[in-house]
Amino acid sequence: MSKFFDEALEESRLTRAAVRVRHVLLGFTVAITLGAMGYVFVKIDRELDRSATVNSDNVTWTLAQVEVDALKLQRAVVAASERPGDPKALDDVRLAFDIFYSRFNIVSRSDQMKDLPVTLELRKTLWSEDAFFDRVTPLIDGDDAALSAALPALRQEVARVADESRAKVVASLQTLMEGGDSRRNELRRSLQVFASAALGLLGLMAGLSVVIILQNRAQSRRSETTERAVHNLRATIESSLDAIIISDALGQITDCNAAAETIFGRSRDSARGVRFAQLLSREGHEDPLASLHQMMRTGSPELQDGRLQMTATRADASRVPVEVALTEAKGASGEPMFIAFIRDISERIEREESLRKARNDALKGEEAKSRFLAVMSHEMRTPLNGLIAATELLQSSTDLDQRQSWLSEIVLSCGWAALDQVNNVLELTRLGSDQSASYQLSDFSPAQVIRDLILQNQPHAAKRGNVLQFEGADTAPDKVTAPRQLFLRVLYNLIGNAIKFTDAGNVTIRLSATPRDHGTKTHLSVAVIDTGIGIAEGDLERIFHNFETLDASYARMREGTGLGLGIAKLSAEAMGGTIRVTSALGKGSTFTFDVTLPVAVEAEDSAAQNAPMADDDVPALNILVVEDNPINSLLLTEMLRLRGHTVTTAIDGIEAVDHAARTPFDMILTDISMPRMDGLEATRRIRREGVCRKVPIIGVTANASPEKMPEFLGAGMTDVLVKPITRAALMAIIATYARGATRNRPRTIDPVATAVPFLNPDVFNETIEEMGRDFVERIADRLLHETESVIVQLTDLGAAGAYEDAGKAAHKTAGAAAAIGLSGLHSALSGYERAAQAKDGKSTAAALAEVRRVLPGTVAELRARGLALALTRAAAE
Amino acid sequence: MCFLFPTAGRLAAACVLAVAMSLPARAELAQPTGEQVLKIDGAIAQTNSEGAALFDLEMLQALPAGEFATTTQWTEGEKVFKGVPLKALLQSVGASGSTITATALNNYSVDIPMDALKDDAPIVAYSIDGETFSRRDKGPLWIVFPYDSGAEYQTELVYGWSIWQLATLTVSE
Repeated sequence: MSKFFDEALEESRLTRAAVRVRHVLLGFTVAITLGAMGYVFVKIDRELDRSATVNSDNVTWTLAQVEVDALKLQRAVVAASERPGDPKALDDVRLAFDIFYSRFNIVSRSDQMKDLPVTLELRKTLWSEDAFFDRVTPLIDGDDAALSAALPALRQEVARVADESRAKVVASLQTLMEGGDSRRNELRRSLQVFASAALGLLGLMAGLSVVIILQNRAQSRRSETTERAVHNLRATIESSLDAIIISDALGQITDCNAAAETIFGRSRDSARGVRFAQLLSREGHEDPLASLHQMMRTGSPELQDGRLQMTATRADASRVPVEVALTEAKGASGEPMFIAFIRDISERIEREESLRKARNDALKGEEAKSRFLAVMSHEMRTPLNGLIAATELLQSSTDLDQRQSWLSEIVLSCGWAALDQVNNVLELTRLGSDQSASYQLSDFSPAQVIRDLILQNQPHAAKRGNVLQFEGADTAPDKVTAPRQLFLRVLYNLIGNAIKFTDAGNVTIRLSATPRDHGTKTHLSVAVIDTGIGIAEGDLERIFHNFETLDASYARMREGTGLGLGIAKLSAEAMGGTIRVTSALGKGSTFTFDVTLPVAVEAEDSAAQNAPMADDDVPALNILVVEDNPINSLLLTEMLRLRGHTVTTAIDGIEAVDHAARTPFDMILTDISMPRMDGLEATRRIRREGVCRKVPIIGVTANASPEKMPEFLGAGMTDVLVKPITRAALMAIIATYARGATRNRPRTIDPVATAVPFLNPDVFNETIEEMGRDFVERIADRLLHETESVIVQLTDLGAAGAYEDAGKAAHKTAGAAAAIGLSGLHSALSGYERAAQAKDGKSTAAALAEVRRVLPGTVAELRARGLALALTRAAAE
Repeated sequence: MCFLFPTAGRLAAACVLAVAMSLPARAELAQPTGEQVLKIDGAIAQTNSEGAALFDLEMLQALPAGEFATTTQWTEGEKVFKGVPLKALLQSVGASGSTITATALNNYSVDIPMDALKDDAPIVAYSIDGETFSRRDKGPLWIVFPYDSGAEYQTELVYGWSIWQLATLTVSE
């Protein structure tokens, strides 16, 4: 397109240059020609003038006349001398003399003849002193007698004058002819020059004609180009989708295009003369044209790509949002003018609006989803919490026969499994919502975390016949500061995944560490290498997607929601790490978790200082339980009453505040989300005034987000207990705050209390290796049955106060449990033994509860390791 | 009525005579008393001799005079010429031709068309700078045009008509 304009510009530039050159040439030529013509003209004029004033024929005649008159005089004198005494003859002499005299007078005075011999020389003869006229005139003027007497002498004299006249006239004619020749030549030359000049001029004119023709041709070509360019420009402007308005410097519209007619709803004619400000306006700008112009010059940031948003007013007073760009130009006579390009952006704005709305809707949807999940987690975790706690209570506080115990165990393990899934989903939601920065940092040993995980996963691995190994812990730093929860989650999922897809193979966890930043940081690379089924290369991308299992049939083969790797990936990323995977189908996969973490600064272990009181030391407290869910309320109440505490219940914040105002409780446990008034508001009010304003208030919530902690604490809560509430966690927190102890630092309590593992995998695996699986199975089965019986026995003995016997019984079973690596059971029974030895009823009861708690976990763990425990305790019985 | 006899000179003379006779109201031309300086003949109505009107200087000076100053190629410097305008002179003799043949003392003659005569030019000059001029000095009569007053008087023809030592004027059809 611009080619046309360039062409036109180039053309007119060339033309301008050519015109300048031509003007100079033309001027030069005209000056020279005029000069030459003038010169020649003057010359010819002079020549002609000369030939006009000097009529050579006339001069010749006059000259000849001198001789004629001289001869006439001679003849008159001769006649008079032949007729002496004739007065008529004498008069003729006088007349002839006068004529000759006058003739010579004329000749001698003539300008043209002054240089001729006839004038110069004859004058001497005739006119000088004592010459012819001097001597003869007195005779002529004298009387007849004197004249007659003088005639003979006069006759001779006149003859001589006549001869001389003739000679001089001839000489003069000669001179005249020569002069005439030269003058003619001169004239001829002048005429020749004139003719040449005229020819030259003709040539020049011919040349000029050619130039003019060429110029005309160029001119027409240029005007054609210009016309084309103008046409193209007009077509461009006219067909432009943007409205184009041309205004003068005062903002008065001089022209516009069709699009402008459409946008402004005005015809071109009615738009002309309208002021710019009448068509376009912008809030806060009185003269939009001037402000736009100003902005353009100063490069105001308000301009987006040189455009400014304005409002166009249509002829029918409706308003349209537009975008305006401005260009300065010059009119034909150089006056400044403005060209405004106006784009109707109402559609765009509508689109933007709908996009914004869609986005907001989507965000709202996302929020709603998050809320939904949070609520779901609350609503699901609460009943699960109830389920688990109730089952625990059932197991620990009532006598169950073996079948009941077995069934309750199933309820418990199913409850835990469901809770695990809910937690997974919740975790994924949390990770996905990009609030990972709020994960709490703690100092931990990566190697230890891995070792613990291996210990935990040993049963799973064994169940599938896999060997779980840990390599290369040496280089790892003692401790790093990082969100332990995330680190753990990454590896938990990777290891779990590896075990899940490997049968009778190896799962190796290889930890390597490289110091970074002068040892203040460490780059950890944890590779989880399995010899499992592997993943096809094409599927490598997909496996990290949520809910992704590689195919449906496969998914059925392996339990799982498909969330594991997604959680691992998101967790790794939340820590600033990455997970890589390499795999060969049928040969195994290697998942490598790379992350750079700061090395923990060594500090004294403060845990000891903050050790909670032993369960035994907790005095009976008067506790207010605020919980809207009756089951949870009941469970919590039961748990506390079981430990000798006095419990008052409230179903919401208002009731709680009411109770707290009247009764000086020792501690308040409150749910967070409740109808009417939530836990936070209740806490604030209790803290404000009343007898309970200084008692520990423990928030009980299913929402375990660390980021909520400041809010809870800010409301005045002393600490937070995360649901589901396990006995141990509950006891621990009550022990901590039992005597008005103040919270030293905020902490979250892992929802799953992991005290002593159910199994010591080393011992357990050793035993299996040495004694064989069948043996261990039988022993374990027997031991579990025995534990069942012991629990019944201990309950009875404890109730009877026969602590010594009970301690012994517990010790016996504990020893057996330790022998095959059932560390959890061992620990619990040992605890009972200690309590029994101390003869403390309360702590024995607590220890017994712990034994009861550990038992189902142990059973599950053993099953997970593939032991066929006579299938069930009930069946064994 | 003269064109009835266009080809016969004699008859023409008779015709002129008839015209002259037919104008009795005209004053008779006086006879020259001094030396005769000019003779006008041909187709004229007034005569004082046989077929001609003869003038002496006094008669000429008695006619209404005209004068102008001019330079000429035959004299030095500007001169004031005074004399009888030729046209008036011819009218005074009742000239009725189309051509005047002017003849000088040396028998040089030239034809001047009657149309070329204006009321004030040429004049038959009888004085230069207030002085009469003699036969020896191109006198006593000279047909002079005001050469300086216009280009129309600076032609060869006009120069040719400027006849000096004028002696005879012959008016012809």
